[in-house]
Amino acid sequence: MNDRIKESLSALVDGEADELEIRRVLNQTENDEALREQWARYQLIGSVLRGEPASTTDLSTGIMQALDGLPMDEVPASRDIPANASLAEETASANEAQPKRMGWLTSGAVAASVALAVLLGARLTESPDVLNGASVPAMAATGASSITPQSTAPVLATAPQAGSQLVAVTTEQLPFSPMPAADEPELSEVELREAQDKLRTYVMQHSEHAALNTGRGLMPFARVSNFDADEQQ
Amino acid sequence: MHIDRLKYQQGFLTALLFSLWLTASLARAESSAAAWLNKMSHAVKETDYQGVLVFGNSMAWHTLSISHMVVEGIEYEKIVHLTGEPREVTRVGHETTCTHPGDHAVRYHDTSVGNIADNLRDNISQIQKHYSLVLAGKSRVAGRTTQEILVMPKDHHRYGHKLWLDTETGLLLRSDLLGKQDKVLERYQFATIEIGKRLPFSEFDASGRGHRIAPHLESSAAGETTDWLPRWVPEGFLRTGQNQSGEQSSVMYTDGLSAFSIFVESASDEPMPDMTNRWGATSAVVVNRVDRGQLFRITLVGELPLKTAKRIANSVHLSVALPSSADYQ
Repeated sequence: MNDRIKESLSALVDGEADELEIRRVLNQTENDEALREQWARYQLIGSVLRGEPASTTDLSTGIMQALDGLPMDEVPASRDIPANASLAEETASANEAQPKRMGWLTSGAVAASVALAVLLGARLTESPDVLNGASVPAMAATGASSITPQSTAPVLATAPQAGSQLVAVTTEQLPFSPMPAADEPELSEVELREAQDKLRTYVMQHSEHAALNTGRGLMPFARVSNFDADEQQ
Repeated sequence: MHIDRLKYQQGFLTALLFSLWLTASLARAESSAAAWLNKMSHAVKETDYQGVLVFGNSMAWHTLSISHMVVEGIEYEKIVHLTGEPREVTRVGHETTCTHPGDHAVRYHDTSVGNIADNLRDNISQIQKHYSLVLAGKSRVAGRTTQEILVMPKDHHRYGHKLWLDTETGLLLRSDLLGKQDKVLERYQFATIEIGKRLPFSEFDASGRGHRIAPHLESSAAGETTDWLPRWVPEGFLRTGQNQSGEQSSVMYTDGLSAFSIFVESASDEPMPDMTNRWGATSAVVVNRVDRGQLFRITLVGELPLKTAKRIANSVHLSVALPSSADYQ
């Protein structure tokens, strides 16, 4: 499960947002407490590492909205976390003496940056470059390089806007933070399945075409098997 | 002063000679790489072989057995999946049969694909317009010595390839498809291969398996054209085939190394949101278009960067005029 999320996130880092994958992961986070917790922690750690106001905004609803092409609120709601929050300590200690954990922390920052990039990219639909090229890696790099004592710095608190679709979650609530009631249209699991089945037919036809046109014989048909295996996971 | 000038001239001459030598040797390496690529394109069609192939990307690995032979100019080829769902694909000439579990076999027969693709594939100079070829080192794959060839794209619209060719026959024994920062997106690699082995015809006989021709895959009558075409495709991608059956039409493009297909169907039933998907090297884009009050769903599947795939899919429209100059025909 974690590997799958990492795969999705790394696809995002590459600027190759895999939309079905994001939807699936977000749908799953709704039902999986551990996953939800990890998702929230990734976002929180990212904020801390970047020395940003340590808000613990849950971006998932916003991303869902973005994917569905719905308007989003201009200012994400956020709240302070206590200066002695355990996550901030975790970050500091990892920064000092635990290089092995750096990879994990960095990927957390990347994940949060990516979540943000998805949000921004989706809002600026006219300039898809936000999702590609330099902006995402740049954000990730910032996240990785600015592991600073700022993590416990005073925080600019932004008052949650009335009717905000983005939900603020405090660290205390993290493990149990409920997802907001999703009243916006989402692709159901059945619809996802139907879309995938349709795609599968097309992939088969494309493989036939590729087999005859790319000088590799039947090799492109190996891709079809891979597609199916992904389905079964 | 005079001596200084002489020295300068000598230095200049040396530099000039060196750069000439460098250019010449690079050109030689390039042409040599092109020759290898040419050898490969023939070997894959003209050699008899049987082996076990491993295919994988960041998500999964699969093992397949592959058999190929040529008898009187007709190619016989078969792939059997050894992992996961049992499945095999058999090709005799241009006719391909897919066998799935549960007596469900689909046979593809596409007469519209023909010499264009062959010509393109054989025309390495066409490929060199959009890819740089570099002769790399030698290494061993499946117990055989291979020559490594780097095929790097000259633009952002296609992926790079690293190819390992059998030094003796030119057969492709390993292939890495490279994305951004040369990240390997997928890999084909023979674990073992036997070259020059003549196989019995029964090996390629798929007729005993109750196959059927899927109606929606029947080729269009000759001359019939698809009206849904992209306004833009990356330079070098030529149209190599098209199908039309009922409400669904499709059109295929290749640059000789990568390929993509576009499918258009009437989407009156249930509207699906626009979406994108990517796994390994394959990108898929679904967009909806309204034409004269009718909703159409356009799906692009291909081995392209997602951004490029999106751009192509978004340019697909119902054309009245003839296809763009990028088309081969």
